[in-house]
Amino acid sequence: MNNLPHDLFAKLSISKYASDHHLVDLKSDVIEIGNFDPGTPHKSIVVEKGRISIDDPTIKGTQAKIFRDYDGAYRLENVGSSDITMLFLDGTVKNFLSPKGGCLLNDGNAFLIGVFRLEFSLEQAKRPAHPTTHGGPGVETHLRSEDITYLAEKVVPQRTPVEPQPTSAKVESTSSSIQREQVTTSPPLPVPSSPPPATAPSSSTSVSAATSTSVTGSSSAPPVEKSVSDPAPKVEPLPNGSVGTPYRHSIPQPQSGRNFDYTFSSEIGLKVEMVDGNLVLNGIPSVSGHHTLTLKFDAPEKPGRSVEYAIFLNPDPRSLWKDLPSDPNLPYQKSTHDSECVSGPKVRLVAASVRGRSHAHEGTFRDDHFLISHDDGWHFLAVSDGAGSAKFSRKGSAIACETVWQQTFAEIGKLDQILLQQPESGIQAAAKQGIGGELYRVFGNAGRTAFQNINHEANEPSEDNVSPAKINDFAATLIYCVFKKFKFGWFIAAFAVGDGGVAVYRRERGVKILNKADGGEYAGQTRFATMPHIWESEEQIRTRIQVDTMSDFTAIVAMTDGVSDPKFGTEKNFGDTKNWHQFWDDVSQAVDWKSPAADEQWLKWLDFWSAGNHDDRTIAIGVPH
Amino acid sequence: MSRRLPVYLLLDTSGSMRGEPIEAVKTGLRAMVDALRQDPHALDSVFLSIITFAREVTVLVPLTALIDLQMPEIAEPESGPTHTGMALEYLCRCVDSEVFLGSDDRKADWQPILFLMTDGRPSDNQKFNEICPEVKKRNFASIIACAAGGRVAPNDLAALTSQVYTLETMDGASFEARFKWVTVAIEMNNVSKGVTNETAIPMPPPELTPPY
Repeated sequence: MNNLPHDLFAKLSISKYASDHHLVDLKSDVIEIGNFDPGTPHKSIVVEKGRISIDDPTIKGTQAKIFRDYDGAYRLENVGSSDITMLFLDGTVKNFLSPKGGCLLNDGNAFLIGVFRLEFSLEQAKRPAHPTTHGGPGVETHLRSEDITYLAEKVVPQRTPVEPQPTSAKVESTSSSIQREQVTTSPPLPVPSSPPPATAPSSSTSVSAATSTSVTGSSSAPPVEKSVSDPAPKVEPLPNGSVGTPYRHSIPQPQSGRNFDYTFSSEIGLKVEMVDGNLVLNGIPSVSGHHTLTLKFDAPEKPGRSVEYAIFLNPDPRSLWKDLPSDPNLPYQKSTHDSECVSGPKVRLVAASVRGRSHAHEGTFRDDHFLISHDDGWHFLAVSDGAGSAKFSRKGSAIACETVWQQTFAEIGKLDQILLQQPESGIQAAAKQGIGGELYRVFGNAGRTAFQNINHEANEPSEDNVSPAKINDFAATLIYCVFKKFKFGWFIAAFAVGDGGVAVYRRERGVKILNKADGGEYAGQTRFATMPHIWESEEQIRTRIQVDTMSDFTAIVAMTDGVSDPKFGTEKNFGDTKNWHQFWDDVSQAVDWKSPAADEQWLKWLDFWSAGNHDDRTIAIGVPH
Repeated sequence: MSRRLPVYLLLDTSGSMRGEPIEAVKTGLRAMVDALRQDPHALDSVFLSIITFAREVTVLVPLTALIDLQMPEIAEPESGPTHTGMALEYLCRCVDSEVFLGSDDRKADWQPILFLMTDGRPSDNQKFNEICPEVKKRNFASIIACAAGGRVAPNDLAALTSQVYTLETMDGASFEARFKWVTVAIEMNNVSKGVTNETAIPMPPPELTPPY
């Protein structure tokens, strides 16, 4: 591979006999060369639309292409001529005859097409690097006439009229003006400035050696593995690093080397140290991109040697997340975060919800929702995770929370009556069936009403600028929980569709999970409260209800998977008391539940960093006074 | 360990890819990787596997974290057949052994993504047609065919995917756009029951036994 930085560009000097001379700046990725309009009298050379047309009766159509390879190098491809009409002037005819792939053009190469002599030269760009991702070099697309700058025409004739025969004296080894050793720094990309000077060189033969070229690392350029024409030093790749993450790797050490010294293509936060006789590359990377480490040393009888190593440093993902506002013109506006504290008779309820980094990055809404409330001794916690892929899920999650809250409190009276009659010793066996039936009725109706309300919103949107949508566009999970203290102790009931979780945490006695997460085979798969089948089957509803009674608890917590995934991982880990102790220590340090600002502390805590976990995060908690 | 997004890249290096098509593939590959390396989500989760195929199938890069990826050399195509079917068969084996479906202790991977870069003419047509349904069983979040060289006929790859793009028009941004993190439940798409408002909620169960 011949990697050439893309901030180099090429010029082509074209001459026919001694009578005229043209200098063409090759900006395009592909230039065709040939006689495209034989028989029509025109100037000896016409430059148009990615083509250099040369008036030569011995050839017809496209004879050759010069294209920029993906590695940045220019190649000359023979596309139709015989070796009589095309000649390389430095004796490397064999490459030239290769029908596909082309042969590498080095600075200073000269060749003949028909009666035209062409010389190829490279110069440092005075403009931004040609975008390599656009169409792609070596691809015949996006050719525009402005891709070719016609620099000069009819310039000063050559001093000595010569036949276009090998005048390669100047060409030979000056071609290796691109030297590995010249790799020095990685300057910022060149700023667009004045185009290359349109002054013509004084003679065609001087073009090839006109500019001394130095290669400077470009951030878009690949790691240099070999120079164009310099066979020496081979570049060894080192393992990638990441900005901000400590890097440590021993460098394969040249045997018998001594007097080591090193330079980097630019300061990247790493240094080379000798540790126990081994060279170690060490430090905290600070600059992302492709970098080169040059290790200089003296070998026995060969002082001043060097080896190069390529190292790629990934950017720090934290620096790449954008925080874009959501579109203020879209329906169902929602704030990027929300939090609330509510003090019930026995329990303080605190909830917080933040927009995930992945949503902020795209400028989409927070889709999660929560609702905390209490009434007649009943405490209520709900969290809902709007599906990121559903366009109105932010509204779906809100309707789900609000509906189940209203419905539950509207219908819980009968259940309350039964529970109030239960003695201190516990719930009577005879009451169990009634309690189970009431739970099923209350939760089933609440969930089904939520489904209907969302469906109604989809069919008859409450906002003016919304056209009817499908209920799937409102897809959201739903987890909610009610609890009240009775004579026999706390009665706690929960209902859940989807992932995330709800649990009762008891510092002394462990954790009790009140839901079974609807995880799919793959990550991100779950069920939503907006799926009709959830509400159509008795079995589906019953298996989603969990109840428990207990004398006390440390906290009741409901969270969306934006929190449970990074903090617990799997369902099994969610049920592991050890992890809950850790979780509780973590949040207790961050949030003072008694504080009036508990919700803000809760919000702040939610901003924790966890690689790969950037979903919306919502959590609601009940802590006894 | 956070969830991985496995991305499989199948690159055609058969004889017909010589010249511009393979160069387009190399350019496309680099554009994709460069784009992903600037995507914070991808840096956290993407794992890439690069597999080339011609007469034989070669795993150039087994499933490797994007942050650890070192770009491999793509061999110059040599004349020979395009064993796309064989490559897909091999891919299925890779997916079966590499994509993690979740356990008690570790969350499942995201659904994998497949990019096929080819000039679109399987030589082993029968095998290709046989294996396509197998590929679909692997639950790829998306299967994207990138046609190189402008010779592809959409029908050539219809059995595999309807998403056929021209490599020449795929730049970094358009590659990135194909990496949609699939957070929709498959089930959501599968449930085709009509949304009926009239579904009566079933009668209360005879007994719901709470665990107390």
